Amino acid sequence: MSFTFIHTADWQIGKPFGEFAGDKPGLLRDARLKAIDKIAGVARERGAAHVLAAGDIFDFETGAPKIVRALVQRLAAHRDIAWHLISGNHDPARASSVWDDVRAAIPPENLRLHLDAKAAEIARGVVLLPAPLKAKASVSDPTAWMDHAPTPDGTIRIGLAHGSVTGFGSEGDAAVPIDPTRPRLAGLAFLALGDWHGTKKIAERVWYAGTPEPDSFTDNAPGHVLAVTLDGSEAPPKVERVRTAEYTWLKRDVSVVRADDLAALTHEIARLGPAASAHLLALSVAGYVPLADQIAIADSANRMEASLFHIEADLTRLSLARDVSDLETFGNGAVRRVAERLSRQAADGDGQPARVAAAALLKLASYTTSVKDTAA
Amino acid sequence: MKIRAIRLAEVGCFSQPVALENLSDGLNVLAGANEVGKSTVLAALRLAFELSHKTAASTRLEPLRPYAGGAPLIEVDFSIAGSTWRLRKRYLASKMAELTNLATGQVARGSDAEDQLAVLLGQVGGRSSLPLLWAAQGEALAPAPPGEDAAAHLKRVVASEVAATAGGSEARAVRAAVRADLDRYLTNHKPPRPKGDYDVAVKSCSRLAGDLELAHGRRDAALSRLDRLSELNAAEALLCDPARQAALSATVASTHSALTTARDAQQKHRTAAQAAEAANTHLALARTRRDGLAADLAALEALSAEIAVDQDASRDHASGLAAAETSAAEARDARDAARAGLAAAERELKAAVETERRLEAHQRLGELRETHAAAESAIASGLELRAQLDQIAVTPDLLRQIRTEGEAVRRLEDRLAAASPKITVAYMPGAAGRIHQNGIALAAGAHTVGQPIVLTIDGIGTIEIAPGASQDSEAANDRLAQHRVALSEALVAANAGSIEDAEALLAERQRLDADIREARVRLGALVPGGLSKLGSEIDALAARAGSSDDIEVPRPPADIERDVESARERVAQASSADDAAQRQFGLAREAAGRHAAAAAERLRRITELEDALPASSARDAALQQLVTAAEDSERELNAAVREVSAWRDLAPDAARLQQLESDAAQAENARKANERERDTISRSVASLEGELRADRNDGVEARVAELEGALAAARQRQARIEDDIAALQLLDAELLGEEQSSRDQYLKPVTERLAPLVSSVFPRGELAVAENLGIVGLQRGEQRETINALSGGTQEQIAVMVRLAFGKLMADSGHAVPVILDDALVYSDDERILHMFAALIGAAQHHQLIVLTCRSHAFRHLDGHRLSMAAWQIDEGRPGFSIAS
Repeated sequence: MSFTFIHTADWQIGKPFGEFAGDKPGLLRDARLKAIDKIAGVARERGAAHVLAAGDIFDFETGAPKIVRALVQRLAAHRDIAWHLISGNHDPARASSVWDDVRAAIPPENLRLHLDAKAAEIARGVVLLPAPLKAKASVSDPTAWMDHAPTPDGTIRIGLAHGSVTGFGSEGDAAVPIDPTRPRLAGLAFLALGDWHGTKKIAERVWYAGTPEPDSFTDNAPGHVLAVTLDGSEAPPKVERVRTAEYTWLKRDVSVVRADDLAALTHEIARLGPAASAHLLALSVAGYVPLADQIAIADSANRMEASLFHIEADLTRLSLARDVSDLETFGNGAVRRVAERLSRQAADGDGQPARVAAAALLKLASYTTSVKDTAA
Repeated sequence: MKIRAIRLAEVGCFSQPVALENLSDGLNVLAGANEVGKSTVLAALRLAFELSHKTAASTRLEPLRPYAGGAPLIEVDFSIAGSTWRLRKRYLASKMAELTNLATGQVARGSDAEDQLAVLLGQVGGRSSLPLLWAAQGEALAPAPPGEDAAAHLKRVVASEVAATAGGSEARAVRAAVRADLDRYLTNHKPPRPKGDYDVAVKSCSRLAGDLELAHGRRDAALSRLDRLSELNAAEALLCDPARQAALSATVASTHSALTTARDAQQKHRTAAQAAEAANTHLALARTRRDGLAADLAALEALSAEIAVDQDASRDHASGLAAAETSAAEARDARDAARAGLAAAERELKAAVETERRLEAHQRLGELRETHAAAESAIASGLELRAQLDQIAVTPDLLRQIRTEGEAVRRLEDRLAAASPKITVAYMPGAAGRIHQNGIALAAGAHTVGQPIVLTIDGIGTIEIAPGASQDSEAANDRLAQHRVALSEALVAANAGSIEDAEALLAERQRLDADIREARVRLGALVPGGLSKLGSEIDALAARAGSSDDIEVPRPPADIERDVESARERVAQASSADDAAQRQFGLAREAAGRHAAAAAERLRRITELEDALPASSARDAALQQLVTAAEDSERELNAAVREVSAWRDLAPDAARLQQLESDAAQAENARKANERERDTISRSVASLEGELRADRNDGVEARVAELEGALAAARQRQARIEDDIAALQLLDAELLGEEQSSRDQYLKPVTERLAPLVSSVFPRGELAVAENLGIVGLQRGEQRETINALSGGTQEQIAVMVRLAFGKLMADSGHAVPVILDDALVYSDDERILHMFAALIGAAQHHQLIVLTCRSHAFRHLDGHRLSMAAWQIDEGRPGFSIAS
């Protein structure tokens, strides 16, 4: 008997993205809802009728009803897919939590809420053992009950849980311990986990699917779902990672000695073409470069900002290298003398005063150019 | 450039053409009274150089319009760059201009003349330099900054000296841009500019922080509600547990049943006890009635027997009573006789006592009368002593006065005697007694001459000796006489012949005084209460004692007392016998009474019983009926007591019943409390669910996350702006420093030339020069004064120095121009003006200097070429040539 399902987690519907300005928060929030459609598409492509979502469906346990309704409607639209949801540490299934609103929204039949640790046969010969969280933290392993959950012989037992697998360095933000040997202890064919936002294989039968839509610059391979096929209860699972992300969050730490050292990155962005508008970049540039290069690097960052969805450029780790040729642009008069003093402060100083001096020098260069242009 | 001559015709106040000729290269002084036209000369000079001859009538020309009519004609000889020129211009009418090179005779006229003049003046910086150095009357009073043209000219001159100012304009432009950007962030006083980017960023942070704090509060409250709801749900589940409900109900039922059973048993025990008590009452009543009838029957029988005995006893009581009555009457008579004897004995005793008392009074009366006589004798003796005392006039004070005066007389006499001449008489053998004084032979030896004396020597003559007269001795004699008079008067007052007599009299007085005090003491001892009181006492005692004539000597009182005592004993014996007889009579009478009363009572009782009892024939049957009733009541009581005993074991005592009631109440309360708690929790759950629904509607957690993100972004924006501001402020400070440094260098040529002038007049003085070359203040030592705070004289002196400095600056640059001062230094004091003269003389070493002043006297010490107005004979026929006469 073969059973294929989609393993996903950490949708965190309703995440506000308040640190972004303008319409960006709205676009990022929409992307998380659109991920549902992508997951459904992947399921159909893989012939899977069931999607197992391993917690943190909502970003908050006090999630707003309109967000709940939006999700329920989105799930109901894919009526050929059975959506199996459990609660996580972000949305623990407590009384009067966001799950009350899910129930109040009259969920369709294809939406299966597993908010109690109770086995459910989701397909003939396939039993889901859910471990929903009832609190944000737990000192006990919520999957422990699976060891003693009776099922008929030959049943494919699938565990669905949310928490941190101890000892494998996969600790997410949930203070909920999960024993990675649970498949062996409880006879699970697969343990589908949520909490870690990147796709991660803990053991042959233990996987984190990660979030289908990235939400931070953490470099842990987010933006995927797992298509899992179980050929009986004993056979090793076949796991396929399928990309679903709309937005790509890049993080780049670049060390430079001259402005050209940023060229590789600018070319990378340029090669993205229109797709760059779906990319977010956290850029940190460090180095010891002359004034002209600093100006060029700042210009490059500005140019990238125009094509990307968003950029966070940190140039504060750039230090000014004194270069006589830099000062030539300031002529021989009073401006030159000021530039020389600022250059000395920036190059010879330390910490904040040096950074301020470097910034002042950059500004002086900009002003001088502007004044000369005006005079010309 | 130097002015050589100035000539004017039809100009202002000058009715005749005038000329100033032969001006020197150095210091020229034109001193003259007010209104002689000095200022007109300077105005005409400036006009000729600055104003085209074609200029139409204007405010500048108006002051030069001749009073007597005509057109102003101005002629100036001047030299520039080694050539001497003559400039002649006429304004208003017949306008003309001529410029003649006096060396070559070449003449330019009209516009050519003006153009050539401009070229010549260009060699000294152009026309703009002239107003700078040619200060009209009043202009030199204040050190105002030069006008724009003049300042520009100065700056050109300065720039030729200062190479360091290169690039200054670019720096200023950059700084202006920096300032503009800073101004968009901050106001002049550093706070964020309202509605500027920084202000918006700061306020955004503040607003978001505030919103976040509120959102945190709401989120925390929501999470607390969730926690609380979980707790309540768990608690409610526990309360609703069926086993718990059943246990509570079972407890209520069992405790209630136990209480009901106990209360029933208690009620039955109470009823049985009441029945037993009633049976007991019935039994007691039956017995009482039975015993009462039996007792009445027995009493009737006993009373009937006693009545028979009573009749004999009554006769015995009557005879005994009569005998007792007789004995009592006899005892009473004997007692009365004894009492009469006692009264007679007591009367005799009383009379004897009174007689004794009167005899004692007479004896005491005699003693008192003797004392009275002795007291009267003592009084008489005292009065006699007082009379003697009153005869002595000397008192201690008077004796002290006498002694004082006597001592004064003695001291004065001794003093006079010491001062008096002394004569010593020594007789020759056989001549003793031949010297006489006042007829008395003078003994041999020393003699004092206190007053003039006459010595007679027999057969020889007389010798008159008188003490020397002196004021001291006269005064002593006067005082001696006064004291002698005073002594004499005091002795008279003391009735004494001498001081010794007075002292003896005072001793006698003191003795008498002591005797009087002693007599008083004795009298006091005799009659402590006074003689009068003693007299009254004697009179009272005499009245009480009466006459002694009727006193008879009685029997001895002891005998009488013995008689009285015997009588008393007889009375006691008689009284005792009387009492016994009376008592016996009373007892007999009481016994007879009691017996009669008892007999009457028994009869009354028999009658009463007979009336109460049934008839004699029915008395036994009635008694038997009562005996049977009592037996029935006793059986009933026994049955009731057994019932009480039976329920007493089943009924709980008060403590047990109270415990059962408490148990039942507790069980019921527990059940109700469970229900109330369920109800309370249900309401709380409903309330929390409502609040949590509102929390979810508001998305309280999402709001926190959203605000946290927004606040972090806002803080980043604020930090970026603050970095930007820091960079701009640093850049501004650096540019300002550069600007300041450049300005200092730029002003250096001026300040260098000002410094020696200033220090010569103001020791340790230093002028602060603004960028526009205006003077802004004077630093004197530690004191900084603004220019407007200085006195008029000081301001005027500074203004002159500034012009001299400008003049030297231009001279040093090769563009020497005359400095002209019109009525400068009018407010300077004598000391300052000398310093200023030195400055003027020094300045004249570098350029021509023309000083016009009305203070001829004050300026007489200014050593320079003296100018004077002379008549100008205009040679109209030879243009370009003039002859001064």
